[in-house]
Amino acid sequence: MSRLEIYSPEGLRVDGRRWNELRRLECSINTHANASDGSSYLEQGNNKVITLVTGPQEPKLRSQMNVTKATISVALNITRFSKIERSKSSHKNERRVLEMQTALVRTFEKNVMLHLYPRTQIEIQIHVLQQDGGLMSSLINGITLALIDAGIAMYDYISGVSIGLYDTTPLLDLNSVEENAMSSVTLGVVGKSEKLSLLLVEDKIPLDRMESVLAIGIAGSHRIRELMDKELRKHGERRLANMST
Amino acid sequence: MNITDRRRILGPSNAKPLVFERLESSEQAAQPPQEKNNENESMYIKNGLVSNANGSSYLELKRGESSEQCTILLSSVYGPRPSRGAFSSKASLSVQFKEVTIEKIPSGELKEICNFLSNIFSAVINLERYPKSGIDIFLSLIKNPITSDEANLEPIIAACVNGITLALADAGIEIFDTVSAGTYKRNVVAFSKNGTEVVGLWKDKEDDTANDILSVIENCRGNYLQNRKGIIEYLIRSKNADI
Amino acid sequence: MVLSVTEKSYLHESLASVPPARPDGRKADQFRPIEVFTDFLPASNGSSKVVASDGTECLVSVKCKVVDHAVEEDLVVVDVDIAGHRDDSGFVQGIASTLSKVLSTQLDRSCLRLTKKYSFKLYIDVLVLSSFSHPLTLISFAVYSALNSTQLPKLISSDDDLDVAELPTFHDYDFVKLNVSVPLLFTLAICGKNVLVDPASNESDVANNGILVTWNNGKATAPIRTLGLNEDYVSGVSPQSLQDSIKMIEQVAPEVLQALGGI
Repeated sequence: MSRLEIYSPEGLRVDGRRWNELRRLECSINTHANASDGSSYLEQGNNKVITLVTGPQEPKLRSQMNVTKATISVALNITRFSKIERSKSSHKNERRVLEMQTALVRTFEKNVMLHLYPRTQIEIQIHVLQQDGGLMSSLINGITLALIDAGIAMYDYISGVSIGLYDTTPLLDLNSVEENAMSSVTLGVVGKSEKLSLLLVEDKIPLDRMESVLAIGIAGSHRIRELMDKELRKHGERRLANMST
Repeated sequence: MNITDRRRILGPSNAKPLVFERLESSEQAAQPPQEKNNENESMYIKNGLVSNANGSSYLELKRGESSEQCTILLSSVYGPRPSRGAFSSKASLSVQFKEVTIEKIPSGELKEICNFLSNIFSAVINLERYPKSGIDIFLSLIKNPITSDEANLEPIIAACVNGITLALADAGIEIFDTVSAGTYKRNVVAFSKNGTEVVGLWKDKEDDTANDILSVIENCRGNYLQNRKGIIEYLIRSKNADI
Repeated sequence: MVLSVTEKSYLHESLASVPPARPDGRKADQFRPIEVFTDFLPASNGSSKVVASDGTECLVSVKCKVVDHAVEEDLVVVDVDIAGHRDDSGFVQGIASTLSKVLSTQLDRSCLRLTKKYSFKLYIDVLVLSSFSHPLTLISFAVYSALNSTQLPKLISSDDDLDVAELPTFHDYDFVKLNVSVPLLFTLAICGKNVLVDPASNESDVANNGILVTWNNGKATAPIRTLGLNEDYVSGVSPQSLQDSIKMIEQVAPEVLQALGGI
């Protein structure tokens, strides 16, 4: 088998995208109205993620209670069938998963107005049905949507995207083939600003290339924010129409 | 029990428990324990072997003459003991296998049996009588009849039901009835109220009796009555021996 | 929702009355409406999602692998994950064990046979996103629809490979539909003398006992067993009720199969 051409001289990637193109992003909210207070279903390329938010509610354990603000907990469930090859382990209590959970909690702690909900807990449950690279960014987008659906006060959207660096070209929104072939960065961008609430670098990136990587990442995140915002407004209008009839 | 309960008004400290005279008629009940039934099954019972448990029973079930076809089960009951945490108006019940000598039985099936047994005994133990407490039942399967292909669960389940009833009686925990199980082919049915009510039905393997559940129950009832007779006779005999 | 003692007692009385008055107005042999979606996971060979009207939701994925059936004993592996319950809890392990026993003994192994040496091994992963009532019926519906939508790769090499040491090769994109009869598991609640099919969570809370009935190849088969639905109201039931439940399943199961088959 010949080696896959990650980025052709003509400027095309394995799935036919150009360097600055996102994957298909489709999302919907309020998908599990009976099971949770807020829910979302997000498809970013071949990533399929269900996010459920319950709360703010009374903490199950006294130790999880904070008298001044709400506590956020994230439970990430990566199903065994999420990749092409079924995984042997259930990914629970895996180091990588625990790290991702903490990173997500830290990302959203600063963005949610936790002081409005003292003595409560906001539980975020994520089920990854299918993954194809850039999982962390899909999780961020899914959580943002579900938190909005739950009506939890936030300062702004957080939209996530992953960017890879192939030789000197930054590639936006990697799939799993690309992710395995190059080093990548995951961003969580606050709203329309250029503020980052998450910058995840898991391998080496030359520092002088970082600026171009961040630039395309922020632009991509803004585009994702727009797509999510459009869907949310559409959903809002639909609900309003249903209410008035 | 020498703990002062400050939440309730207790009787005077020099109160004595009521003691009734023993009835004369119960003395005649002494009969040999190893009574053979139609399936050539014999049962040996011994209660109170585990000294640190509140109640325990040792049960040996023999099918036929050979010692190979023998089920030995030790059940012990701990409780009612105070449970920590939130208030509960009734006792919580847990049934667990402590030791299984034959590792052939997968753990999932053991969990299924535990769920099944705790469902039966939730219906039979007077749990309202013991608020804020927990009753833990541990089962040790000492010997399992050796079968060629796979573990034959049905005699084990029946032995568990009978063994737990005996252990509960030994622990002095209130039960509504001496529940006992009877087997027929690959079916186990646990009865109460003299065989008019079914508290548990276990049918895991397909056999020719699939569509006629009533006749299965009827056949199990015969076996149940025999097992229960054995249990009650043992209890009366040991009671008489104590006094 | 947690019911008070009085509410429970009222509910129990209404369910035990003749005819039973169910809180959602259903008849004793009526199921709740469900929605079924299939084939939404391209990375799996078969997938389905079943959502009940109370929000109970169950996802099933079927993946396959080619194995030497002389070496691998189990050709069906079932894994159950119920959100909100620990994987090692008795509840989850009990359901997983019941399901895997039913599926591995009652699915026809010859349907998975590929060549004389190799077979497909099915990995059936069940994810219950939210469960309010006993999820076994819903899981079994989901497994049924997932297996019926399962597409397996099409073999293009010879199926007689006992003498030749070659691995099976498959067509690049053609699939063959898995054609296998899948058992269904039904849970019923017994309240007084009444038998109720598909009990909702509040009905399960006051049922005298639950019963599990399996349906395969047009008849009720083993395992048939009593099942704890709650801890407060559990009590003995008359043998007649057990027979009634099996009779009820004999009546409704063909209709359920027809409804699931139409998807």
